[in-house]
Amino acid sequence: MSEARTRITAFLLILKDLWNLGLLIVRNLQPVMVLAMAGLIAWAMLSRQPWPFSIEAESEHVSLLLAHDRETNWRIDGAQLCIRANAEALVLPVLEEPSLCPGPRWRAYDLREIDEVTLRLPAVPPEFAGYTASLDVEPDRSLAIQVSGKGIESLALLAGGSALPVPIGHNAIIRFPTPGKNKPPGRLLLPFSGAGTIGKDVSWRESTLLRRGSVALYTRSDEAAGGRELVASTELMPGDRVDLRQHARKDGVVTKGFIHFDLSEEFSEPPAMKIVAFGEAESIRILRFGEQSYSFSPGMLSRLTHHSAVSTWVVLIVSLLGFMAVYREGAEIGEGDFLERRRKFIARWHKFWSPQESSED
Amino acid sequence: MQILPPTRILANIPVHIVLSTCVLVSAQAYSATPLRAELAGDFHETVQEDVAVSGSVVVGVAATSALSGEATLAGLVIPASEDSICLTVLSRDGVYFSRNTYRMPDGAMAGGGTLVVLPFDGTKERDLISHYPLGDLAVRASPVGCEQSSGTYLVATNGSEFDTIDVLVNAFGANAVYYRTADGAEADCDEFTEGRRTSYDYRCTIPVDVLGTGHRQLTIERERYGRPLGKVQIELQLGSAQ
Repeated sequence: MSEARTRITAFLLILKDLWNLGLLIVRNLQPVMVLAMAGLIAWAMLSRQPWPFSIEAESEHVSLLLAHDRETNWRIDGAQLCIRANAEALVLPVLEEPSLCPGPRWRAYDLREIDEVTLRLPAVPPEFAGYTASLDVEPDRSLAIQVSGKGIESLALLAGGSALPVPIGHNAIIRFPTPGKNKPPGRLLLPFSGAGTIGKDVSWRESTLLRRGSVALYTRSDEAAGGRELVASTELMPGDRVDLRQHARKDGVVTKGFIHFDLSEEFSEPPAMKIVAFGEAESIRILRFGEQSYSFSPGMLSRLTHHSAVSTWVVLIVSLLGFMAVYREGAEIGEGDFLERRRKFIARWHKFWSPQESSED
Repeated sequence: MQILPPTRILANIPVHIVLSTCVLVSAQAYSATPLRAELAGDFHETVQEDVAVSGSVVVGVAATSALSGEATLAGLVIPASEDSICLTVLSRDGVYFSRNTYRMPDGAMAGGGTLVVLPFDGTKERDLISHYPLGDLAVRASPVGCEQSSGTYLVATNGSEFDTIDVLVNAFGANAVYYRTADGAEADCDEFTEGRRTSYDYRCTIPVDVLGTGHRQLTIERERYGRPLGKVQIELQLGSAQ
């Protein structure tokens, strides 16, 4: 019995030594941990990591530079189409209205009586820039789009659900007129991926502008619903211009989004396109009237607290240092040797409950 | 004594001597020509952070390599005019603007192939100007004083040879700009898609081979969704030394 107790005591002493060794290691590592934490904080503050962003805006003008490596398709039912006069003539109704594309370089067609018309903007080889598209809401509430490119692949038209695309050259103007009074409003949804700008620089020479909107930056988060957490957001002012970049970095995520527009003469509010875009960027560039441009990005503290790699390590190190502080406080409260205190406690316990035995002893 | 044929003699001359002689000859031939024009009066320039928009369609006309802050500060080389030259310099972001008249130096002959250098020493914004890269600073030189207007523009260069000329255009709401030469050559101009476009938003890059030298007519045409806006006809005067 006595031998077993001795072995247990020896084992407990080994455990105590181990515990002390662990504490000594942590104590010796304390300066290294403090330095590591300071280094991580500095890195988080100085590093430029891309943030997922979302933009929601209402604007009368949008310019797009479509990603060259992917095809874009837009439904253009009910539109009027102009192609270059030197392009091959199409077997489509010719538009006689003189107001559409009256310039000598264009030839106009009427697509209003044709169902399911699709404009295909093809992918182009990487050595060429992608197609550009300029979209404006016109004073008569129509929407005008001009598409141009210098790539090898021509724009194509797919009419009436046809699987056979008809090439229409590298330039096209598409105008969506309002459906007329007492007719249901037309709806347009134009998805895109690439770069571009929302809104225009304010100047006396043009009247179109961005009306309102907001920009939000997020960070990936396991705790937040949806896997991301809002870091910062800002409201856009009328007249702002927002630049969408194609890639935050070479292997980054391409900016994607869509443009929604309701065609009607009966809405009381002046029409504007609704633009929604998602992507990743270190910052969002906003150009404001009367100011130089500024980059909207999270502040220093937000960059630190929301840095995906650093925050985990900082939390671990801070927790460890906190634990050590608590342990030191605890050690000051409970002074002395645990086994010695235990032995005395048991002896006093027995003495209290069996005073005779104790006195005999 | 052995007499070597001319080809052998040339072959025996070290290559670096041949190259340096060629460079020296061409540089002397070019640098001997420009005379230094004189600034008439004080140097006028403004820097304003708020928006300043040019009222002209054609904002800049120069060799592609001359549309930078460095080229302007070094002194633009321009064909001589009869009496004076008005040089307008405007940054794309609308912040910097200067307009100054230069007097022709003695011996400068308009149309006679004389080139003049327009010194830019009077500026107090050297640091700001030097930060404008290629394409961000428009220069436009007219063969008259700044109190007069002219549809003729002298093509500014940085003193070296060039292959293309840039015409910087304020499109005034147009979404397509193209140029047409007197010979009927036509091409689209490129839109500036990044950065401020306060002063100008399109660049027409015209190969010298297409345009030719001497006095050349050029038409700048603009469209907004297929609707023609006003045409602008200008005359470009390229130095014969190029």
